Amino acid sequence: MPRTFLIDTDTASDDAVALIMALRAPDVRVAAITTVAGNVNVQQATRNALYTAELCGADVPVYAGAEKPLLRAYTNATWFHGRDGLGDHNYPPPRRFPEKLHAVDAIIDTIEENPGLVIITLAPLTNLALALATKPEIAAKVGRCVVMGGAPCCEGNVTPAAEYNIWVDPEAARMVMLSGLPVELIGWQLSRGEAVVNESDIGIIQRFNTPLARFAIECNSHARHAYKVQTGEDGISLPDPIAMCVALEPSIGTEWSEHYLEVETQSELTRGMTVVDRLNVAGDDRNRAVWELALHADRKAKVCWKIDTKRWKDYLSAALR
Amino acid sequence: MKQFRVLFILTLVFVFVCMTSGFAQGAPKRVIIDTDPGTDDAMAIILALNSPELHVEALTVVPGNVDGRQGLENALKIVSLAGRCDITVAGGAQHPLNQKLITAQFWHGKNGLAGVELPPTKCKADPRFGPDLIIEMVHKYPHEITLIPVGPLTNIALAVSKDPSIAGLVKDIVIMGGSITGGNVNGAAEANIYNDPEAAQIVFNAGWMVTMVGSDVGERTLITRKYLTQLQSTHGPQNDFIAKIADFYLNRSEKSGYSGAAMYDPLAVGIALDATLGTLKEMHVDVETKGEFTRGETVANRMGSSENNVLHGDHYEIEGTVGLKPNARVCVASDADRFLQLFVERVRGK
Repeated sequence: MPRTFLIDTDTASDDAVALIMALRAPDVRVAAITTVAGNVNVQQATRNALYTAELCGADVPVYAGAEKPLLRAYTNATWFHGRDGLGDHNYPPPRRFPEKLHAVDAIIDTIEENPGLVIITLAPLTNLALALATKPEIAAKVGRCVVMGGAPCCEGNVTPAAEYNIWVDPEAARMVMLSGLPVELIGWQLSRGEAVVNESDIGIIQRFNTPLARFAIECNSHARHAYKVQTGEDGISLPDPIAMCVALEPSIGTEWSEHYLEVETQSELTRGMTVVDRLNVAGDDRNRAVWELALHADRKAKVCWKIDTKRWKDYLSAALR
Repeated sequence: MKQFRVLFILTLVFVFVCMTSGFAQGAPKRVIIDTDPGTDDAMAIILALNSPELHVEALTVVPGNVDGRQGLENALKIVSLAGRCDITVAGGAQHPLNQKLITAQFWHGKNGLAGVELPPTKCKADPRFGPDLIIEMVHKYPHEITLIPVGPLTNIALAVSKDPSIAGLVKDIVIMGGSITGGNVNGAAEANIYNDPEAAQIVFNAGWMVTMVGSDVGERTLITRKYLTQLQSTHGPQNDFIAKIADFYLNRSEKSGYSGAAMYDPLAVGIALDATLGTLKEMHVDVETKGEFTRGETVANRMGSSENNVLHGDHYEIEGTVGLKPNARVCVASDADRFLQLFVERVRGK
């Protein structure tokens, strides 16, 4: 029996590759794709998701969701992904349309209809936060919730403290992290260094000469350039596909630990920082009042610290071949 | 003959204009009350139900004074007491967006209704989710619905986050919440805003003009023994219920050093039905969500502008001001006696 996935995405270049990996996985049924404002606006994200699904020959329903973060001014990431989120290569409009149902309702319905559902979030957590506020009971029905987001050990890609998905809508992220969902956190740092798809990896993928392989490399052209400017590292960094890879095969994550997790919403300097209680002090006298909600959620998040970069790249290749 | 026809048409047009404008004036406003009932909520609901200026389309329940389950039970009992099972009553959010709920049995009695046990309700809850119901009704009656949130703003924030278009489609939104001269929870914050500051900040900046009826004005609109005695001299199921909870609320307020009980929520309904009961001033209001001492404070800019500070080398210099568009009509005073007379008049003998 195939596993059932729901993917929440602000579909830009790395999201597109993640969608391909899920839609091409032989033992996975993607029940719904929900879109949200993030890398690009929600209309563009929806269009990109539909286009990517079309390339994969998939008829998965796509539901559009929140147009902006809960209370912060909306900031996109087109400087990184290109104006259209897919490197501005003028891809044609998709043939299909999004569903009428709002993404928030689609999330609730899909969870209700698929106990043990695996949710993968590749975007700001606005949709999921609204779904949980509407029906908190859904948290207990989800099998896994793999979140691409945060920078639990180190610097982020927007500020020295925070990664984009969490930074854009920290209040929503906090609602999700404290909801009791079985969160597996795949931080931005896991897609750096050895995990970057380098020149030789790109060469291998291009020699597959499949439409999907060409698209995956081409739509990341802008992102590759921006990543070089941002970090000095050469190649394509793919945070969303790494999260998807872990969702598909948990053993790709080789080092994990479980902790109380909080999201900073009160400070501008560290806005959206994912704060991990690694020394297990959240419950002590000094910290209990501040960590009250996390302690109350009674569930620690699984934080991934290391991935098997070789196997990750094998999975990526398999999806694009 | 031609002149006659012109005259006839003009008369028709005149009659039509009279009818439509008369109709517009006479037609009650459609309102949805979002409530955490609550003694003063109950007073506000009963006032609305007995005011011909308003047509209550729905009550949506939010956790606040009491939790959501108790609030829904109370709302259903109140409409049942008034014989108004035709009104849609729906539950909503189960807790504030980003913090734990703080309930107020201290002020409202253990069941939120001064401990008064109302008869079991004959009315049924609507299965829809409150914020979704609000979205649905605003689209069903574009530019006709006045929202009157008198609890924490969680439900309204969820509605306008899911469907931002409702901000341009409501007729009005009159909230009980906030204060521009100090709070009733602590030095800074009023209880409804304090209970969900993030939701309040979403609501104040959703793009509509919020009419804000704050605690500072409610505290100058007191129901006193004089008015209570008037209510106690007449009878009826709603009248007696309101007299009982007003008595409890007045005792509680007197024990805390007030000379009467603050008509927080009823005044918001009062201003929704007759704006001349308050003095409204346009301001830009933001909600503090981060301050250690000021979380939940409604920060009002009375000047309509902020200083424009421009960096000059190692320091900033003021270079005039930057305009700030108002997002709220803040009630700064009420015609307290006229409102209380209206309240008593509407409830007496009901």
